[in-house]
Amino acid sequence: MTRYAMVIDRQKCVGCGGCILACKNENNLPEGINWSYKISETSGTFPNVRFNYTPTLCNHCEDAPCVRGCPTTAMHKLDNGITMHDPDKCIGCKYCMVNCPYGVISFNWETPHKAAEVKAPLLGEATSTSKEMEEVAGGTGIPYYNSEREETLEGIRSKGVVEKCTFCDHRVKNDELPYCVEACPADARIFGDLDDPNSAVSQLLGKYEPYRLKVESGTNPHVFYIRDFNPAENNLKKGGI
Amino acid sequence: MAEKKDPNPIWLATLGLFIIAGLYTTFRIVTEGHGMLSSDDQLVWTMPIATYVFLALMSSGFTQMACFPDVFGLHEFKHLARRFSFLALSTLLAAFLALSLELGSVFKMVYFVFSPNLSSPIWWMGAIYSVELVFLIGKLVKAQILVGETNFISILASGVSILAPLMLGAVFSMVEARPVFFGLFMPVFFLVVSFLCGIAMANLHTRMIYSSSERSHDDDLVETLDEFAKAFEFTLGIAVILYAMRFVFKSTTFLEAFTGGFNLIPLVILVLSFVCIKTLGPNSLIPAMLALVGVFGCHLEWLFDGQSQAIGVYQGLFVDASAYWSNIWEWLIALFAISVMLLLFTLGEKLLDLEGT
Repeated sequence: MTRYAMVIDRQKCVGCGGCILACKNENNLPEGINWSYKISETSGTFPNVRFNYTPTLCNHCEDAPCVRGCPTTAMHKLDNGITMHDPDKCIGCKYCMVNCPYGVISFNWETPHKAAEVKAPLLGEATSTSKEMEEVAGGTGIPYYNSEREETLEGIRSKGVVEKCTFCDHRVKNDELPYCVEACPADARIFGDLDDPNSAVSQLLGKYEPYRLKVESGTNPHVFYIRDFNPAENNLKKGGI
Repeated sequence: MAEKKDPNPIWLATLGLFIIAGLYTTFRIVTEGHGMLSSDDQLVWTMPIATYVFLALMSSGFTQMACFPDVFGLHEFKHLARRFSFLALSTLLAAFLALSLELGSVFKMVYFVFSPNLSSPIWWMGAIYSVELVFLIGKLVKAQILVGETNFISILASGVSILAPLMLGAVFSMVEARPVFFGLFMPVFFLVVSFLCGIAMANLHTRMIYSSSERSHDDDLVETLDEFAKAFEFTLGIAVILYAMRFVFKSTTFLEAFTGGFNLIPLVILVLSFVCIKTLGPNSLIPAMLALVGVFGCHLEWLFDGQSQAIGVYQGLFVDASAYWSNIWEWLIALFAISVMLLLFTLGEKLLDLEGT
């Protein structure tokens, strides 16, 4: 049985946000919705401060609270371990959002891509209208529309339903990597089958001590983090009083 | 049946105004989406959900009281039981109206029936409230049209009216990511406030209906209102203790999720209601009004408190949840649902025979 998972190597991740933008393009995400994002935190006290990034996405939990709580089974598990969402069945109760310990589910509060409906150009006779851009790019609804997304999900989800990362299931079923993995310039995201001992994810999990977010919730998340990026020197000393 | 007075035109006009404003809000929500409300991806449930919870629980309270004569042999309530069934039905319909305005895609609710998830507390809550609706309609039809005994339906409705608040509480208590919803505390609190709201509104409604009629000095009615006063005072006391316990627990726990502030205003209103019973006497309408306002405030308070901690990527993306302020559209949804409930109350009193079981 295939169980897909992702390993995020934090030593390689520089927080460039390439995965976030790639995801938005691949899945036709509207403004304000990010299936892939990052938690940005600072630690220390000035002047000894550092900035930490934790890339985030749906953890595709094995015991997913969003799946358990969804009243219409709109949120459901696929056989390959991917947590999938069916917008046709979603009644917009938002229970999955309240129940998710990771805060990675978003709601379409208004008609998606409203900016693409603007008829007038930003600068008269200097820029194109959204409609003109859409025609040139061959898009549907938005200039950068990706029709491949329609293979397993509505290309653009309507207002009044939730949406979240699907591990790019439409690409995975065609033996392609999720687009955030493909687009990461540092190869910080590694994708594969947990049940295959020869997969890259299995090998990494055997080589480094992984950790997962909020594992104490009992959700058994399928996104693992390994290593850490830290160029700082640690001069050995005992501290003081 | 005695000749009934026409409803006050100013009263009807006021309700009509709020209903028209509510219909306009509905149109805006359907066409523009829920972005016009004050909610966001962190604070996803706001005043419409609080309104739904408030009205749904009140409906269960009415149903419990409507079943008292048949189930527990409390004959003091016999001449009011049919009225309470009607009030329960009207309140539940108004609750469903508030819920439908909170949901994003009402028409997809067909999947609620055809694709049920038995592990979901929301599914069970919806199913049980739907059953309560059917029983209430059955009880009213049996009493109003078929003119027969309603004992069997009352027993079923009574069971469902106790189960429904417990299950509505479970919707919040089973949220795994939000410990400030206080787990198993919620079903118990919901059961208590369902009865509290039912008896407070029943007290107000009964006193207003009979205030100018010849029956206002009936021994039966006076005896029933005395029972109302005792039950109201007792239930209010339990609700105040339970809600105060919530603050005590919160203040002595060190989990990060519990470190938000306190909003004691709803609790103060409930305590004030208790004080008013003692100072103004059991026949005053003010304690019941204050209790209803206080419970509505409690629903807003725990709802926001439970969601106040930003989770995961939402940390730092949204303004502090404690800065939330309901906007005009949320108030119009609440007033829309409450106005529909009061209009149904008014029309029911005018058009139906609501005396008896």
